[in-house]
Amino acid sequence: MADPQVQPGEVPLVERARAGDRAAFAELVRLHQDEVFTLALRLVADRELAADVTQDALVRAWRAMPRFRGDAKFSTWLYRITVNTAWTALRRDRRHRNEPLDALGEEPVSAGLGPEQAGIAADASVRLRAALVELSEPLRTVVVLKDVYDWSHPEIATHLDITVTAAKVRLHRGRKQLREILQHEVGDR
Amino acid sequence: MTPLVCLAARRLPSTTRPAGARRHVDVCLRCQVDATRRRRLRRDLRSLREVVETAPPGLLSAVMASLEATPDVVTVRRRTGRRLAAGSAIVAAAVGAVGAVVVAARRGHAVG
Repeated sequence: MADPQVQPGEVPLVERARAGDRAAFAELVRLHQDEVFTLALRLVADRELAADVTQDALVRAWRAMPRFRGDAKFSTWLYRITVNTAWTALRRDRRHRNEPLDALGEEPVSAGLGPEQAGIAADASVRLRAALVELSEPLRTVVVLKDVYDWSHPEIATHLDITVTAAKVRLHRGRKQLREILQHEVGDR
Repeated sequence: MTPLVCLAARRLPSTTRPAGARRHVDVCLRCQVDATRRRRLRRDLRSLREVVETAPPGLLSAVMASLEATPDVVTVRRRTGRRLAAGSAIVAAAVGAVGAVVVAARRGHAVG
């Protein structure tokens, strides 16, 4: 999975948090909360539920800290917990299936672009996020994990408890539906 | 309506497409437009990774408050360890007592 850079000073924080230091864990939460919330929001497509998922995932991470052996980056480990938590939340709360577009909420932070480019990118990004919300949960989850977060098919299959073939089929269908939604939207303009 | 030959050519990824299908895509404008759309969608999805949403205000304090309600992990492990030790001692004592009763009973039979 593609990861953001390891934050400077993160390794000692992780060590201290593993030993039960809550202040160190609070600092880790501060460093990663936006990324965790973004992943949760992409998966569940609902800001309120995403906030709940983020909170649950971070509490689960705290409980699991003594078992974190450092085989993967801390952020990767945290994202896996977030995906599992989001998946559990979605299964528990099917009411959030295919939420309307207002689930997108406030504008995101998009850094490093000029005003004109940022405008075009923001427009494309908003349309794409709106289209993602229209996908069913199983398709959206696979598309987000593969195409946005660059997870491998076996990784996706393991975390979603499906076969690799099912992951590939869902990705194919998800991409196809996304193209259709976006095309349809352009046709409507 | 999309011609069947186009649908057949698009079903396969560009890397595993047979020579005939590749030749078709090379000259078919519909298929080229479709391929461009697919590439654009993949690129846009990848770029979504750079778009970071801001977590709701108060999330950090909510998480830390939840941790206050959660017993400290190290304490839990120590408690679990103590409980396991106490449990083991009780089981060992019970096994010993049962063993003593059985031995005593057998001796009683032998004497009788």
